[in-house]
Amino acid sequence: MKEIIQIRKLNKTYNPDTVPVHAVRDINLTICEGEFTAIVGPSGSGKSTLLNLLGGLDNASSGEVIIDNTNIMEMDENDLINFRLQNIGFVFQAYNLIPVLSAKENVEFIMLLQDRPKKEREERVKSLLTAVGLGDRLDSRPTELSGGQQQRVAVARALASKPKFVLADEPTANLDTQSAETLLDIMERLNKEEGMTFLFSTHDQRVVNRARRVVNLVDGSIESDIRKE
Amino acid sequence: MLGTLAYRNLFRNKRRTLITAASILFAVFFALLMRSLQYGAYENMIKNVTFYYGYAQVHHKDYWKESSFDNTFEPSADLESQLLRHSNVSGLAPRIEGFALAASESITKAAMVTGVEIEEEEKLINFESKIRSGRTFRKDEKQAILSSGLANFLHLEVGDTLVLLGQGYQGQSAAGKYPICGIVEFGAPQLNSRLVFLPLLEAQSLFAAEGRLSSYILDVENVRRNDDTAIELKNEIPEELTAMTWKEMVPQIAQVIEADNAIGMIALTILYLIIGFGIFGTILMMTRERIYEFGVLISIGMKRWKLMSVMLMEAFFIATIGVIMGIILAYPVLLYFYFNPIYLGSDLANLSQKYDVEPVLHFSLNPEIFLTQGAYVFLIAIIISFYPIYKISKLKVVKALRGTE
Repeated sequence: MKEIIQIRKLNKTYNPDTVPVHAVRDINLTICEGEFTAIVGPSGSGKSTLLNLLGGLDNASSGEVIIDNTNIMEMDENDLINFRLQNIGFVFQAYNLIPVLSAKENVEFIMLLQDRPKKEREERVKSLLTAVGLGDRLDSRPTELSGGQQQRVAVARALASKPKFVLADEPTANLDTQSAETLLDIMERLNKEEGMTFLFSTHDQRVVNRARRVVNLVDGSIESDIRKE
Repeated sequence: MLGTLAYRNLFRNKRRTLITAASILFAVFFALLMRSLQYGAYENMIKNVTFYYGYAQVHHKDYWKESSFDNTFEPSADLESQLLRHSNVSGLAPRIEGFALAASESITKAAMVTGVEIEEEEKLINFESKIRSGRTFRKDEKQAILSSGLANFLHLEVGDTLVLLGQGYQGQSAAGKYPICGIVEFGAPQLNSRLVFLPLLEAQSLFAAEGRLSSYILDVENVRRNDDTAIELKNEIPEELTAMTWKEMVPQIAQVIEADNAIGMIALTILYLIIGFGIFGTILMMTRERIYEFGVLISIGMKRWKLMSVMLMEAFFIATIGVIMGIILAYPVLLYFYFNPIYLGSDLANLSQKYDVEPVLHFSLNPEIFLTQGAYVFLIAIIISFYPIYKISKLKVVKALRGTE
């Protein structure tokens, strides 16, 4: 399988000059296309920091994050924003849809930022929202949707830009069991049917059970990296 | 989509949008009220001064220092056509002026006697509209028009006779009896208390100054070009004559306006500051509430400048609504006071008359006030909206997502 993310000797230290906190220590990790990976660990283990570094949202203290042959740690901020837009889909814990836009517009928004043609946008919005089971809620505003439905719109939004992979930070943390299962079903299906790569940070056992690879972080270091058969 | 996003954001927290727009509305409303009152006062002061002095005058170069008949001049058709050739001069009225003792049966008072060609004055200053009782005189009549203050002082009415006694050109005595055909009312108390108008020929005859004039009152097309017009005329007319603007003839009025305008600007600045801080408070709250959202939008690939333009558009919408509503709210109020000026009570009236100011609060509807005040407040609102733009430019995405920015 094609390697799409290569992490080499990645370190992130907060307050290096005062009270250093090593959030990520010497991490080496490779993520291949089509993987469904959960990064797990207790609170403060560095899951979110690692995800932020992978998403180019934070700068590493040292090391490399190579995505599709590009070391994103060497990019300036403007190039990074553009790189994220074209290559990475994000799903956040608190859904984070734009409250004044409808489900359809939230998904379309990403494609507008990419300057995609109207026809393509309309077709993709419909197909993505249908894929996440919200084909009949295109015009609903986020406040008119349940938490689970909002998170499904967020998944559709993350996929709208045709990213190389999706980073999901605790995507099920705010969902009830039924909504979490539905969301995981959808993501699993998209992974299997369309080959979309998902990388989660989570301490939700339901996600861990579904993941085919589980990377366990402790104190910023990889303690185990298990691939399920 | 960015415009749609900005527009819909207005309805996201309606109360906050309303508070911000209302702050702008009240800023515009009060700024317009203050400025209209000030401009109204200035316009009225200038009107009262220019009613008698005109916007500019041509007279003998020593006349303004020493207003005697020795400093009068002989008019000529060449001079008149030279003055009228100037692009900004649209008309002129000849006058002769002198001082005399005005008397009724048992009361006397020093008065300024002005000989005028009534038809020409009418074109310049709409003399007829100032007549309180009676009528204006004809060119060949031996009649007088009195200012109302002087008429009251002398207990004279239309139909009574006024006696004038003074000194004319080259020391000749000046004496005459004139039936009163009209009483005229001026806004400026000092003018209102001492003016007597006679037909020009009659006044020249009274002062034994036949064929001589004290001044030409000039009517100008564009008041803003008044100062330049006077300067240009000074270079064109004969050496013994000069052109003066009303600001040069009555500098105290121009100085009062200048000083009051400066005080008004300070008061306006304080108003802008108070309202500005009010707007800033709501913008600050809005920015704090949306920091997380800014972080998310930048994370998913929205460029900072696009996010900044959304914020600017939001500010633009709110400021435009506030300014337009402020003008809409203020206009009928100003319109009412424009046609119904506020008359001051007797104590204030006495005080204002002491300073030769008409005891009436006039309001102005000068479009310049609406444009400038609307623009200033709009600009203030836009400048304040640079705070979220600054925050977006400095935003650390991870901190914003963690809620620690």
